[in-house]
Amino acid sequence: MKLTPESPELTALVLNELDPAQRAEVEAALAADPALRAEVDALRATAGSIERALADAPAPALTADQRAALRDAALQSSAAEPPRRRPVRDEAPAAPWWTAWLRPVIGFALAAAVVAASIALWPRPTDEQRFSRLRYQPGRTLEDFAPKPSPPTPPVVELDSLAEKLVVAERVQQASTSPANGPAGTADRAGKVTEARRAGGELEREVVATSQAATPAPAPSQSRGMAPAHATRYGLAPAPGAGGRAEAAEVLQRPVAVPALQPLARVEQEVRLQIVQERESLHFHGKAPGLPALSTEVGRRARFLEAPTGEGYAPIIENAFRDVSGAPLSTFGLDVDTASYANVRRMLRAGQRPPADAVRLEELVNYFRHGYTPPAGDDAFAIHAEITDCPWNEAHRLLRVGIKARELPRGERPPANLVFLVDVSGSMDAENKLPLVKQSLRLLLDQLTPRDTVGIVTYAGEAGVALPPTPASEREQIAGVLNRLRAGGGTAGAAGIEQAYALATNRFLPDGVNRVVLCTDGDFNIGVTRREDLFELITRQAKSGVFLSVLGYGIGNYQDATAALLAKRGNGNYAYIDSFREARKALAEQLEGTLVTVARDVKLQLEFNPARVVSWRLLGYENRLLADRDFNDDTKDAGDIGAGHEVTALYELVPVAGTVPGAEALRFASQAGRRPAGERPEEVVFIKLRHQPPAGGQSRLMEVAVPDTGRGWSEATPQTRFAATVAAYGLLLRDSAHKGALTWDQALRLAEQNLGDDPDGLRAEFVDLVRRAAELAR
Amino acid sequence: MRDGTHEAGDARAAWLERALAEHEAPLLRYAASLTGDADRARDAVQDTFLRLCGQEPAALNGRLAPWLFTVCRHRIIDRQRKESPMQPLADTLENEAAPAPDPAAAAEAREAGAAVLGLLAALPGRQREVVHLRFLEQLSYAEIAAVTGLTVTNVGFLLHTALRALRRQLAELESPARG
Repeated sequence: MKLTPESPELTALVLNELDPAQRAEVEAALAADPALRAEVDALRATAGSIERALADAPAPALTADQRAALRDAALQSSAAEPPRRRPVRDEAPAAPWWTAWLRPVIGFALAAAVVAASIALWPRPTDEQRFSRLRYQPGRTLEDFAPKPSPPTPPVVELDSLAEKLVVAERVQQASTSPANGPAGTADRAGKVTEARRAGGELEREVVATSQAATPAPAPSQSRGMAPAHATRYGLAPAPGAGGRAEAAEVLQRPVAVPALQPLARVEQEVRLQIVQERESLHFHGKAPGLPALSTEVGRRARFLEAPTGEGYAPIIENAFRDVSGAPLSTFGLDVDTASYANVRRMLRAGQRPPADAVRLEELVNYFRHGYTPPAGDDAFAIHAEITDCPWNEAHRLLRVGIKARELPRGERPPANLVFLVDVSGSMDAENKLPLVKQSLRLLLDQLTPRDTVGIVTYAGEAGVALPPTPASEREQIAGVLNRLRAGGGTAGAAGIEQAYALATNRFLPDGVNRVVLCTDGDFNIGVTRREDLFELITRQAKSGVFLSVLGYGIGNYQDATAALLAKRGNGNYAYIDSFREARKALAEQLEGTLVTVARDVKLQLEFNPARVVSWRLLGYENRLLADRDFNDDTKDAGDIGAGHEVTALYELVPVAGTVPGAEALRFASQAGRRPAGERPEEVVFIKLRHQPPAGGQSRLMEVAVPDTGRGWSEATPQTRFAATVAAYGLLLRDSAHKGALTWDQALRLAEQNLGDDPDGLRAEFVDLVRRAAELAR
Repeated sequence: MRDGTHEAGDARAAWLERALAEHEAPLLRYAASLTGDADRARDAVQDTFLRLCGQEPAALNGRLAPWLFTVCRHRIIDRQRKESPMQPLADTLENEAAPAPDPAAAAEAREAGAAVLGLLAALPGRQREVVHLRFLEQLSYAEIAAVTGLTVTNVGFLLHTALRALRRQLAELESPARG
C-alpha cells in the first residue's frame, strides 16, 4: 500500500477505524517510513488535544425552563396513557396514539380477513444491521459501507407495515360507514329544494339553495362507537359481497375497546408523519432503497410514500375514486385556508418546482374569490352547485359546489376587541417578517373604528404587554408602539399567549368580536411549555368566545408550522403573509371575514345517487375528511367560516353510462354499466351542509339536490370554469395520478380562456404562475 | 390503571434524564457549532429531546447518540430553511465559508484548550461538523456518515484534512511562544 501524509488512512488508524487487514497494511507501511510515523504521532497528539479541549470546556446546558418542559413531555408521553388526539400538523414526536387504537382495529380487521393474505411482511432489520460499526476501508463507496440489510429484510419494512395499517384502517372505515350499519331511511329531511329549471328562455344556470331548515341533530351519544343513521335518500342496498366489511363493522359496533374512529385523513397523516419519523431514525439519506414489487394496494401506497417529500411537508395521499355502492357519502369539514397558493407561488417565482405535498388543491382553488351570490335573508350560507363536462377527462363529469357565507356590510360589523400577540424573537428579524408585521397591523388599524380596541403583547424571552387595550381612535399611540417593536431574544410562547388571552378576556365584548391575532414566523416554540396545556387553553378560550387568528410570516415550510395548528385549535383562521399585497388581502379587503365568524363547525356531506354515479372523487380536502357519522354529531369539530367567505369543492364523477343528457349512448357499454333506476333518478347528488351558529348551540342544516342537465364545458358558469382551471393547475403541479389527459399546454389554454372577472389582478398573476410552472416542467 | 400510567411516565422521565445527562452537553456543542448561536442551539436541542419523548426507548437501544444527532441536525437545517427559504437548501453547510480564522486571538487565549476550541470553530463547516461528531461522542465513521448523509470515505477524508489543519495551526501557535 502506498501511503503519503495526505492519506486519510493515517487518521483512520489513529481513530481506530481500520479493520484488522487494513490496519496490518498501514502499520507495515509505517514501519518502513519514519515520516509517516511522525505524521501519525502528530495526528494522535492533535486528536488528544481536541478530546481534552472538548472535555475541559464548560458544559453548555439547557435552561431550567426547557428541562422542566422536557420532563413534563416525558411524563405525558408514557405508552400507558390513553390515546390522545394529536393534531394532523403537529410536528411533535408522535406518541403513537394511533397505534394504540389501531391495534385492536387491525387485530379485528385481520381476523375478519379484510385484507387477508395479500400483505407481505418482512422482519425488521436489527439495530446491529442498521448501525453496525463498520470499519473504514478507503476506496470503497458508500454502498459498500451502508448498513447492509440482507435482501429479504429491506429497511423499508416499516413503510410497508405502516402503509398496511393505513389500508386496513381505510377498509375498516369503509366498513363502518357502509349503509349496512345504520337503520335506513330516518332522514330525507324536509329541506326546501330548489332545482334547476329550464323554464322558458330563463336558464337558471345553477342549483341554488338559500333556504335553511333548522333540524335538530341527533344526540351526540348516538353517534359514538356506532354508525348513526345515514340518509339513504337513494335507497341504496348494502353493497353486494361486503361480507368482510360487515363482519369488520360488526366488530366495530362492539362498544368495548374500539374508540371512535378518527377521520381517515387524520389517520393517514399520522401514519405518514410516523413514516417520516421512521425514515429519519432509519437514516435514509440520499436515495432510498427501492421497494420490492408488490401488486397489492399496500405496495402501491408504500411506493407512493417513497416519493421524496421534498422539504418535509406533511405528505398528502390524494383522494381516490370511491365506488358509490360502497361509499355513497362524502363528508368533510369546510376550510378556508389558502396558504398553499402563496407558498407555491413563492417557489415558482424562485424557479423551483414545488414538491407535490406542498400543493393542496383546495387551498389553491379557495385562494380566489369566485363571486358566488350571497344568501338571501337570514340564511348563513348559499349553496351553488353545477355539474358539467370535466376538462381533463371527457368521460367524466365535474361537480362544483360553491358555498358563500353571509356578507357583513362594513358598518354592521360588531365592535372588535383585538389583542395582537407579536413574536419579536430573533428569528423575526428579517425584511419579510417583523417589518411586514408592522405594515400589516397598520393596515388593519386603518380598517378599525373608534368602537374597536387594540392591545399589543409581545413575546421573546419575556412576554410583556406593550400596549394595554386602547381605542382604535388613538391611532398615533398604537402606531408608535408598533414602530418601536424590535426583534431579538429567544421565544417564550406560552406566557405571551396567556397574557394576550387575559387582556382579551378582561375587555370581553359579549356582542362583539373578541380575538387574539398572533403574528409569528411559526417558530412559535410552544414546545417549551406543556403543549397540551396550551392547546387546552386555546380550545377553552375559543369555546368562551375569544378566537385566535394566526398570521404566518416568512414561513417557507408552513406545513411544519405550529401556527396553522394553533389556529385550528383556536377556532380561528390562518393566513400566510408573504407580501404587502397578501397582507392587504387578508386584513383590509377581507377583514370582515377574518374577524367575524358567521358559522362554526361547518360540514358538508354529499350523497351520490347510484342510479347516476358509478364512482366519485373529491379533489383536495385530504386533511379535512370526516367520518360520515360525524356529520350529524355536533360534538365533532370542523372549520369555522367568516363573513363573506367562499369555499369551493370539486368532485370528479364517473357517470352511470347513458344517464348524461345529450351524451351519445354507448353502443355496447350502456346496458352493462347501467344500474336499475332507483329512487329520484333525476338527482345526481344530494348536498347537505350543517353548521352551528357562531355563539354555539344547536346545529342547522341546509339541503339541496343537484341534477345533471348535460351541460358541456362551454356552457358552464364562469365560476366552474375558473375553479376547474385552478384545479387543473394543481393536478399538474402534483403530477396527480388523476390528471387524466391534462397537459401544461392545455392548462395554460384553460387559464387564458377562463379567467373571468379579475378586479384585483390575482387571476392575471395566476396565468403567469401557470406559465412559469409549464416552463419548469419542460 | 392510573398507577400504571404514572409508572410508565416515571420510567420515561428517568430514561429522558439519563439521555440528558449523557448527551445534552455534546448535542448543545454540536448544535452551537452548526448554528453559531447558543440560543438557537438550545432550541434545537430541546426540540430534539422533545421528539425523543415520543420514541420507544427499546427501539433506540444502542443507537441513541446517532439518532439524537441526526434529529438535531435536521431540526437545525429545517430552521435554516425557514429563515432563509430562498437559499439553495442543503448547501448551506457545504458552501459556508469558514469563519475568518483568527490565530492571533487564539494565541492570546491563555489555555491550550481554549486555543483548540478557537481553531475548531474556525474550521470550514463540514470539517467542523465531522470533528464535533467524532470527538464529542466518539461516533464511528459509519455513524457520522449516517448522521450527515456523507459517504464513509468522505468522512474519513474530512477528518483527516481537519486534523492535519489543526495540527499545523497548533504548531504555529506554539512555535512563536517558544521562540
